[in-house]
Amino acid sequence: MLFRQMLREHLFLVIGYQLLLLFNIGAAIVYWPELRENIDALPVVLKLIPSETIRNMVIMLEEQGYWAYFGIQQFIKGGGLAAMVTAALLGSLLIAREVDTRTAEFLFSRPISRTRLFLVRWGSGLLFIELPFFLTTVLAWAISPLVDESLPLGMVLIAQLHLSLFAAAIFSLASMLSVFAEHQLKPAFIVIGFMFLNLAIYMVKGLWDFSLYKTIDLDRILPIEAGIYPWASTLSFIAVTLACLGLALHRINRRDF
Amino acid sequence: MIEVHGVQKAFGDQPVLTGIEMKVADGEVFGFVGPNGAGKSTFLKCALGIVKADAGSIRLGHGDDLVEALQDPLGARRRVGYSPGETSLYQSLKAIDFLRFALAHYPHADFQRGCELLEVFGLPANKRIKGFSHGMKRKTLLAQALATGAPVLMLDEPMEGLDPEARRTVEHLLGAEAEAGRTVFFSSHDLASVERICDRVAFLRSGRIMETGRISEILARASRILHLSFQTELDRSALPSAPGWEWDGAGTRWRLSFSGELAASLVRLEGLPLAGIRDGSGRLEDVFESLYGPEAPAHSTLVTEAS
Repeated sequence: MLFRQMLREHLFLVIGYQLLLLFNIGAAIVYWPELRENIDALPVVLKLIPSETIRNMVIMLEEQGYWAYFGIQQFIKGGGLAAMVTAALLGSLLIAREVDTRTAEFLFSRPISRTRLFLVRWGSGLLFIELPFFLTTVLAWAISPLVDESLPLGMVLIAQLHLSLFAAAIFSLASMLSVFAEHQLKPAFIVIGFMFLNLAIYMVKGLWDFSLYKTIDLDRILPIEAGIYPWASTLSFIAVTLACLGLALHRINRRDF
Repeated sequence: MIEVHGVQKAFGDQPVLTGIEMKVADGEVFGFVGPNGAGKSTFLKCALGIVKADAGSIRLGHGDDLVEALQDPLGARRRVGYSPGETSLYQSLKAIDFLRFALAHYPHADFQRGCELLEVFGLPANKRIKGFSHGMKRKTLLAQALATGAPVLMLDEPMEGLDPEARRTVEHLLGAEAEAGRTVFFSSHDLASVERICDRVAFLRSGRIMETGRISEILARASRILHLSFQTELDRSALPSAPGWEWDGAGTRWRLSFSGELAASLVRLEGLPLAGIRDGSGRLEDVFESLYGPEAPAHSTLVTEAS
């Protein structure tokens, strides 16, 4: 019942997010044949690209072809923007929205423990973020033969898992802040601002090693095809997720509503 | 049944509830009365664990099946049908879906009864709550609380926002719940309703219980009030005085509050140019005014009484 209520409340956000991801990956795959035709011309334009970060992406694209192209699409559009913004928004709504809209008194008067209530809502939110992310990836794998390309499904899913755990950590951070907040927009702004700051740092040579995006960029994703999995980053995502969950549960069980 | 001992709650260094003591029996209708900010809603929230009490004990349930609410808030919530004072609800839900959601986790909830109550209140079950008026939302909350099947009903301002007809319907429903053995505990500003349906009442002020008891006994203890109108304008000096008498008014309209026998007091008014006299005594509003008016005692005259 809690899951259904969450779905009802966030249905439009989830559908919009899914459509955005599908449109992004679909359009990128449809465009690929044209880029493939002209891939030899990339070194010519390389020196015109001002950002070294993007220059590196183009170099990898030239070297590794479709797999790198797919990785760039997932990193920039999925992992970088859509999933992060959705994770921040959904996470921030979990509890703070109930306080903001004054439904918290009703919700917390129901005979259900706060721990269970939070975990069901957190789990539902995570599903709303990750399921469209995975569906989009599977769709990309399924339609790649239409442009005479193929992706190794196992590797694609493993790369997707890495990005998903990153999104889960960001979602958990927003969820944890939501338990402390009085207004729903506050945690969303904090997390989105934090992620944009990281994106900005990532674009600056010399600083990019300090950006969270370094943990999910092509340097981490592309080696997965060669069987090199970024365990350290993955474990840190899990650790952040668990720490945020622990803090959130500690706070929610003590807070007055 | 609800048994309350020494409940304390402070927000920061501001005490909100201080030493609350009460006992409400199974099948009793109990009114919890006080001005805004007295701590009524905070007490209800403490009983359900929505707000954490700092100290004390609140045992509630039915018969021998009692639970210590401050230790086991989940157990308490299973035993309490609650209607919050705040009427903000999930706007996107239809009334019937809200009812389903509200009753989902109660062990003895009766969804069919909830649907019947929506009908009794004249609420469209398939209309979204965002189209509901304040009063309709209040009725929706009451319907879900009554349909929980819980042995204790805790209702925060159940009459607020209701028209007179709906108030009578709620009074009738609450009376029937009490007759069925359920404990009905509600906070209210609607003293007329409290007077009509409550067996006992507690007056709360600044987080302290000022007075508790049967309504008839409280009314008997309270000062009597006469509203007098005169044919000519009179000064206070022209009006008689006696121990325990207090005059309030001006010109041709005066209000006399006094304690003691009515007949003896009327004798003293002989000789005044009376145009009319109306007995304003015996109403809970007068007790409220005496407890919360400008001349009310600052500290509790705690009278605690188990039924």
